[in-house]
Amino acid sequence: MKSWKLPCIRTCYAGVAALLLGVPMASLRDAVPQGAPAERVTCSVLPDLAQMSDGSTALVVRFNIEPQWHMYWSNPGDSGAATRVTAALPRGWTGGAPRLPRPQILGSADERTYGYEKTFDVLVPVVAPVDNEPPSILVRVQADWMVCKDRCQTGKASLSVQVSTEAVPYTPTLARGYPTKLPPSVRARIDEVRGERVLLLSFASAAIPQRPLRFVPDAVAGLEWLGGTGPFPAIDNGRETSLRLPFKVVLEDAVDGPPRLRGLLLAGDREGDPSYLVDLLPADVPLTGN
Amino acid sequence: MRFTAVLTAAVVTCGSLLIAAQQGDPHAGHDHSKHTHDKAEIAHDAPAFSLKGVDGKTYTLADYKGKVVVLEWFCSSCPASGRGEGSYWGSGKAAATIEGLRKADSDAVYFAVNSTKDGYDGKSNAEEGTASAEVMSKAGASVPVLLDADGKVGRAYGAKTTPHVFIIGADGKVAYIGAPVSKDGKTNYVVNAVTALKAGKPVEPATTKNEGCGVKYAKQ
Repeated sequence: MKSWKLPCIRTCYAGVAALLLGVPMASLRDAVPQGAPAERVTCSVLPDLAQMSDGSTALVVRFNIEPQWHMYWSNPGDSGAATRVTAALPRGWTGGAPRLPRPQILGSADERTYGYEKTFDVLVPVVAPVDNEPPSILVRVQADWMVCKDRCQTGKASLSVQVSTEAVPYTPTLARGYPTKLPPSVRARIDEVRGERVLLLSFASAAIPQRPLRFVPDAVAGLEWLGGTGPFPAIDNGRETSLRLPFKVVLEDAVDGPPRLRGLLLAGDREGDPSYLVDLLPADVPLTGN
Repeated sequence: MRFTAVLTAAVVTCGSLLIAAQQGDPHAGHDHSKHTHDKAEIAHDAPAFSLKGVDGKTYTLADYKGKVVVLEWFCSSCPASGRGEGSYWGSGKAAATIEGLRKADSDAVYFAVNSTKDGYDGKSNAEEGTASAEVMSKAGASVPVLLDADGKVGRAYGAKTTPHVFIIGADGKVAYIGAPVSKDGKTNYVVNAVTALKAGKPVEPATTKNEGCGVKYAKQ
C-alpha cells in the first residue's frame, strides 16, 4: 500500500521536472486533449503505470464520456468508428497492442454497435528495458474516436505525459473485464448440414461455463455474417459444447486463402463475465464447392 | 449395423435441424439458390431504384445499364462523411476519388444518396440534400445528390453508414460494398474497383469494413 505522501512528493518532483522540460502541468494529473476541443469526451493518461493482476505493466489511457453518448470498440459494428490509441515510448521501452475492454452491445436490432458509455480504459502493455528504469518516462499518446448519441462527433487527442514508472495496482473503472485468449480446447470447423456449409465452434464445456454465448464477428472474406448478436444456443453433451455461428460460408469469396474465424466470444451477460478473442483457422474446410 | 447407420444419420439430421431452428437460421433446410436477398450482395443484381435528385432530375438505375455506377451514402452533418476537415469530403479524399474514377473509366457515374429522414437535425431530407450539394461544391467535386427520404433505397441496399459505398458493374451486378478508402487513406477502394471492372478483372477486395455515422432512416 502506498503512503498518501508519496504520490504528492512524486507529483511535486515531476512538476518541477516538467517545468524544466517544458511539459505542461495539466498533463501530469488531469491530461486533456490537446489540439482539439474536448467535446463530449475527455481523454487522459493516468500518471502512474498500472500493475496488472497477471504481473504485467500497462499504460492507462482513460476516456470519460458525456452521459448518454457512447464510443466504440475496435469493431464498431453496423456504424460508428473504432477508438484508436497509439503510444510512443522512450527508447528501450516496448509497447504492446492496445487492449480495449469487453464492449457493451448497443443500438437496436436494425443497427447493432459495440462500445462504451460513461468511462473506459484502454490499456497499452509496456515493458521496461532490463538495465534502466528511470522514475518517470515521457510518453506520447495519440487517440482518435467517434462519439455518438443521436448524432456523431469525431475527436482526437495528442498528449505528452510524464508517467511514473512505479506501477500501482490497476483499479478498473468498469466491472467489465478485458478479452483474453481462448481456452486451448476451443476449435472451429466448417461442416456441411443439408448442403449448407456451416461454422461450428466447439470446446470443453468446463472451459467456458458461462451462458448465454454471443459472438461479435470481424469482417472476413469467405464468412458472411447473417446478423444478430445471439444469444446462440449451445448444444452441450456434458463434456463438450457445440455452438453454431450464423455465418454463410462462401469459400469462393475467400480469395486470400482459407477464412479464419475472427471476432469476440462473449460468455455470459453479466458485467464481470469473460470474453475471448477468437482467431482460429477452422478445420475440415471443404476443398470443393457444394 | 445398417439400422445403427440409419439411426445415426437421423439423429445427426434432426440435431442439425434443431440447432438451425433454435437459431432462427433463415437458410436452414432451404435451397441456397432460392434465398431472397434483403440487401445488396456481391455478384447479385443491384436493387433497382428511381430517385429524384437535388437538381430536380430523376435518376433511374436502369438508365445506366452498361456503365459502372458508384453509390455513396452521404450526410452533411456526419463528421465521417461531409462535416469538417476530417471527413471523407472535407479532407479532399472524395474529390480525389472522383478524379481517379474519371481517369479509370470516363463512362462511370457517381451518385451521392441521402437517406436522412425528414426532421433530423432540424432539416427536411430535401434541405439536407441541398446542404449535401453545398458541401460537395465546396469540395470541388459536385456529383448528383439523390434524395431517399423514406429510406427505401438505402434499406434495399443495406446502407448502414455515411459514407458507405456500393459499386455496380456494367452488368448490373453489385461488385463492391464497403468503405470508399482505407482507414489510413492510402488505398482508394473505389478507384481500385472501377479500374478492375474496366479491365474485366475481379474486384479485390469486393467488401471492406465501412465506418461512419449510422444512416438516420425514417421509421418504417
